[in-house]
Amino acid sequence: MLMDVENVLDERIDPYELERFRDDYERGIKTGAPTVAATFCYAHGLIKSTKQDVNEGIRLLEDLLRKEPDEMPKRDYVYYLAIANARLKDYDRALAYLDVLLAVETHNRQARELKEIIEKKMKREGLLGAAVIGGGAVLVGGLLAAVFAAARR
Amino acid sequence: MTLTNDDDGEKPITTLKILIIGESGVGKSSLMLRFVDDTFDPEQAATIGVDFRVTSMLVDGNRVKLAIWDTAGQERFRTLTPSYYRGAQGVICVYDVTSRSSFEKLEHWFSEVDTYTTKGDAVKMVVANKIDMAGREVSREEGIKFAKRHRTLFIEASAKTKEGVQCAFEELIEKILQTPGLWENDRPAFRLGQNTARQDDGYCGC
Ligand SMILES: Nc1nc2c(ncn2[C@@H]2O[C@H](COP(=O)(O)OP(=O)(O)O)[C@@H](O)[C@H]2O)c(=O)[nH]1
Ligand SMILES: [Mg+2]
Repeated sequence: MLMDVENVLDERIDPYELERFRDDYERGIKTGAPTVAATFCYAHGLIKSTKQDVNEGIRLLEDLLRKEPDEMPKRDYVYYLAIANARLKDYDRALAYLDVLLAVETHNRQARELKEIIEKKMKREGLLGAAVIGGGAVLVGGLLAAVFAAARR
Repeated sequence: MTLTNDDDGEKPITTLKILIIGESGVGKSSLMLRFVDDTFDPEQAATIGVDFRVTSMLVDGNRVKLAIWDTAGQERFRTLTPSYYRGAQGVICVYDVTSRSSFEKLEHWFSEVDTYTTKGDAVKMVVANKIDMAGREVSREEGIKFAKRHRTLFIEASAKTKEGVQCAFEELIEKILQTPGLWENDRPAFRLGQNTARQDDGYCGC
């Protein structure tokens, strides 16, 4: 139940809870299309599970992001994509997502803190270097090109 | 009771989960950050999902750890709601005194609290925020009346000027600690002082 800020990258979901979100989502699939809310909750749960689940969660979040017309939900998807990628130790990609968010919302404390946590982790794992930083922008560029275009004007 | 935020490194007697709920934009995150970090951001970004802060305070010389959960209050996170409420000992319901609709939504938030809190007797508090602003739409009397009807604590506050913020959290935590069975004592030798003679009028007296 209790978490410190750093635990956003280690927190595990209760398997029964994930099961519940999966049921909702799959019921949606069977009856046509799952709602955005059901998809998001399932994805949000998946990224706190096994590596394979995190990957599936990323796929769902990217899909939600691509289809989302409104700005507010997009920032949520981008933030959780950063968390998910960081959990897979794809720090570069995680930071790229956060930078997109911070370019639009310089005051976003949650994004700034997550960025610090990731950078601290990279340093601890000996990954922080000029060669690594910056590569992620290319990686997520295709997906994010137009994400916050409207907001950045 | 004496309460302070100093950290003396002593092992806490218990850890309490406090939840902050209410409509988007009423100042939930601002209240949390004022209390925990003593900061205020006039351009506070809307919360993503759920945010939380861990802090601690001294109650009668005993350290109490607080995990404060701040929710986004947005519709698309509704399905995740039950897990936020699980195990909460205190719930702070916030409205904005310059927004009548945020006050009217309190009823809805209260029914959600009753549906989801697992500890049926979680202590509730209503915080009327942004009293520093001009253009008030909800009077203090209306707020008190609502709180009385729901038998909860009530306080008017401003995350911007600090007014009432510390008091709100202190009052809530005292009330939780005075409620038997609501929290677990991690150090059984601990005894709460019996010196809180304040009459239970339901709103903040400090
Ligand atoms: N004047 C004033 N503005 C406030 C106060 N509390 C919050 N705000 C502002 O109201 C907006 C929404 O606050 P926020 O904490 O994000 O609300 P939340 O959505 O409930 O978390 C931000 O621009 C804050 O700076 C207050 O007590 N007084
Ligand atoms: Mg907020």
